[in-house]
Amino acid sequence: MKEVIEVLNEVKPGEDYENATNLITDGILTSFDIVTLVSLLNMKFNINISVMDLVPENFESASAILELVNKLKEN
Amino acid sequence: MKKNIINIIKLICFFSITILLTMKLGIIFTPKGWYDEYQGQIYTIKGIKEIPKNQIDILFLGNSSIQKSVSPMQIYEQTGIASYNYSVSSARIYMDYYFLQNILNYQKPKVVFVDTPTFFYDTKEVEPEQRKSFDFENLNLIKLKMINDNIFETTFEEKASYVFPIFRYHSRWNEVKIKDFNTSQKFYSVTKGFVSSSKLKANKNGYKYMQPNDKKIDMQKDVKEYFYKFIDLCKNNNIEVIFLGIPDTRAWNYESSIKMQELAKETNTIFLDLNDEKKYPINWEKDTEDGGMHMNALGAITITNYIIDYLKDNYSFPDHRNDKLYSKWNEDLKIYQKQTNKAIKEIEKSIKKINDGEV
Amino acid sequence: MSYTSLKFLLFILGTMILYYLFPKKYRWIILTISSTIFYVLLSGKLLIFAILGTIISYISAILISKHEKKKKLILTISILLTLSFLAVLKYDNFILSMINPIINLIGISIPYKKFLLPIGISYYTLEMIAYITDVYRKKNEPEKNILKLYTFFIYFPKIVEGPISRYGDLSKTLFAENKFNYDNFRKAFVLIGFGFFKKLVIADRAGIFVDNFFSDNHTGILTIAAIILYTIQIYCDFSGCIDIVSGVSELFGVKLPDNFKRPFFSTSIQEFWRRWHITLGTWLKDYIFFPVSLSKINMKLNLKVRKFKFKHISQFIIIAFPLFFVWFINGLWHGASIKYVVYGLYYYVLMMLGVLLKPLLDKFVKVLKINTKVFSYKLFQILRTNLIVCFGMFIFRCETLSEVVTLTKAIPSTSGRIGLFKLGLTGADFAILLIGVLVLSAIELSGELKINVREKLEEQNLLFRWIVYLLIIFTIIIFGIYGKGYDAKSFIYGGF
Repeated sequence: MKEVIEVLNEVKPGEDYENATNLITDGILTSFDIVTLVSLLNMKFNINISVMDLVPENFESASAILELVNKLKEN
Repeated sequence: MKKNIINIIKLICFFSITILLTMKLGIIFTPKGWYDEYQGQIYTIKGIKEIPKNQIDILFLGNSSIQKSVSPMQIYEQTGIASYNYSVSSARIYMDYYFLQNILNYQKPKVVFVDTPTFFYDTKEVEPEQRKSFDFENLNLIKLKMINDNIFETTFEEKASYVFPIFRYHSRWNEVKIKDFNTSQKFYSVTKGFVSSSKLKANKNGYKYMQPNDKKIDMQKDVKEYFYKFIDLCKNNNIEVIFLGIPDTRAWNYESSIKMQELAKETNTIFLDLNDEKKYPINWEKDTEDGGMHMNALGAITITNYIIDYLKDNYSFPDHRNDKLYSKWNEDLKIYQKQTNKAIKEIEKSIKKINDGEV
Repeated sequence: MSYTSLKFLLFILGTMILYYLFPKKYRWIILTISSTIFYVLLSGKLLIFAILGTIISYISAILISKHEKKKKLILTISILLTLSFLAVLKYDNFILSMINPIINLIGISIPYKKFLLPIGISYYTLEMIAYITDVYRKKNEPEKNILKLYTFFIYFPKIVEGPISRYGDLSKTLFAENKFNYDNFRKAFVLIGFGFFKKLVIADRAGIFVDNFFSDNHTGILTIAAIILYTIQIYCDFSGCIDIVSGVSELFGVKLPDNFKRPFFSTSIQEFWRRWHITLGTWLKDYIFFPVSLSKINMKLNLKVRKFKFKHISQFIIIAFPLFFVWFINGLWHGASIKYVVYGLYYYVLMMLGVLLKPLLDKFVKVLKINTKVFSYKLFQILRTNLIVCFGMFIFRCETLSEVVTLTKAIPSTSGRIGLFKLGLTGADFAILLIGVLVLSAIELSGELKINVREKLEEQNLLFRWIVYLLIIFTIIIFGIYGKGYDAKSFIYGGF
């Protein structure tokens, strides 16, 4: 979890990622941020997030992102 | 289910209000056109419904040439015969065909005089002229038939705009005046449709337009169709048709007269040709308002007198001058006389100016 | 049959009556039939392209779901096939104008040909690509009923001007067993009325001025008025049309996606494009931006740049490459000419500059101690965005790029100057325009403040509601621009 929030802060600092649950809906993360985020996550966790995973539900909160990362790690 | 029925009733109510308002606004927005205190096309069209039923014995139908040259009140003044001049600018025989059907709802004329130049026009009336003739008619089955007739070449949207004139005139929103909101205003025609002109412009070419030649002329195909339809309509209603040729240097000529004589013979009708210089001379120096196209008040007196003579010689219509039912006509006559005198004086002034060399 | 014609209103009425008279389960078939009629009335035989496209989408979606291993190949082929119609019919001359100079060198040239463009092909092509791709991405199951797919692609409210819909979303209401709902009907009615108001009262009125300005080659200070009025025109025209068709669709209980979200309140051009023509933006994001961003090339490129340790430069690079495609395609989608490509790239350059200069700007704001949280700063951002958008619209409206340059240069010139009221609009017309724009702004401002005017209206008592409804109807009937127009001169006694 901590690592995910670190990455998020690198992409766009100054947001309350611990508690936010509507990162996409509220427009905190734009599509530009998503692309940077994905590239960082790919690197950090050595995973491969594909276009199919780019649905809002996977990025609404830090925990959702973590879930996605864990799921991809298993594969 | 009950809720649905209430909702449907609400819907029907709402749209009824909308439609009513749309029609009412149409009347408000329709331009009333040029009219003064007594005369104008709106009086002609709406006025015929203001006259008590079946008072009229003779009807004149046509365009502006008859409108400005035949005065029913002059006929009444001299003979007591009740007539009405239902002429609108740019009328064509296919319009007259519908106008007559409409008039028959109110009046039962025995003789109809019909304007002739329209038979030989090769162009159709323009849209504003159609509007000016249709818009003042009440919306009824005949009007709907007329709107739907393909001869008027109207699109679906235009047809709708005859039912809801607001669609045609909505852009006049900054021209609408307070008096337009008085939609119950009556338009009674004191002159019985006649429109008099006090203008003067001599025709310098006289009867040149009637010079004999051997040109041939014929009616357009669709005009022909309505020509015969019109005659049938009259026959079915026991109305005698008389084609009336008003002197007109622009729209008439020798070959038209010849063709008209043929048509009258063929249809067993009468053609009264006032373009005949020998029988019915008019003074082209004084009688025309625009150089030979339309009569002015003086010309109208001349023309109407010829018609009076013709009626006296050929018919014996009742004299209504002492008829109590026609007392309104006698009141109208006084207004009409004043108005005519005024117009004649103005024309005489113009004549004097010309004679004095001022113009 | 345009969406604002009387015929269309009658067409809807007829469709609606049949729709609700039909058994619930088969109501959507009425929409299949009426959409087909609508299409044939507008485009005749060209319906064949929509049918062919439907067949390609239908078959490829099923194949993709069955052949997991070959699905990428099937996807590529089917997208290319779908695009080929658009490429030939819409972009043939544009493509040829690129190819011909090259093949001329070896002595060949392909003759130019002008095709009739099937109505809505730019929209349904995107929808077909989205449908096939979504099946590929396992977002949707392939549709087994080809008639449903066909109905979706040519659904008449959205066929002419969008909004670009997704099968997964629209099919939920399009094929649902919709019941007649009086409350929905009322809401839909207001939306349609609002759309008519925007289109006929505002857009078409502003359009008179704009058309006269551009067709008569005027210059000078009026250019600014023309640009502003054109921006108002295109917004009210497009969003008005979307309101009408969304309302019409709601009459059948079918919910079209939002296409505009008060774009002129945006504080940046990125935000503007998230709120303007939303369905095109999200389409480009989902089917161009994300796939290109996450492509291997882009990711590799990004990794290399990352080594330089310039954080924001790497962020810039990772976006720069995919965004170029987005804006290039956005421009080209609007029209087959260089001008539209430049229109797209205009936004691309501005956006990239924005990303590149952001650290600099942040510093600037910090040094000058500018408070960015206050209303005045937001207002400044909104005005700045609107200025950029207006100039973009200007490029969009001009015939050629050189016209943009000439007109811009000539703004201060005084030669051939004419009055504001000489271009078809009277003072009264400007008053109507002003009132119209104010009413529109008030409603949009309420939206910004999270007040839903439409719903608030529905809460009111019957009498008040009816008065408002009638006001809407008669404002449109009286102040709308339609029909022949009244020319007093032609009504003056003609003398025949």
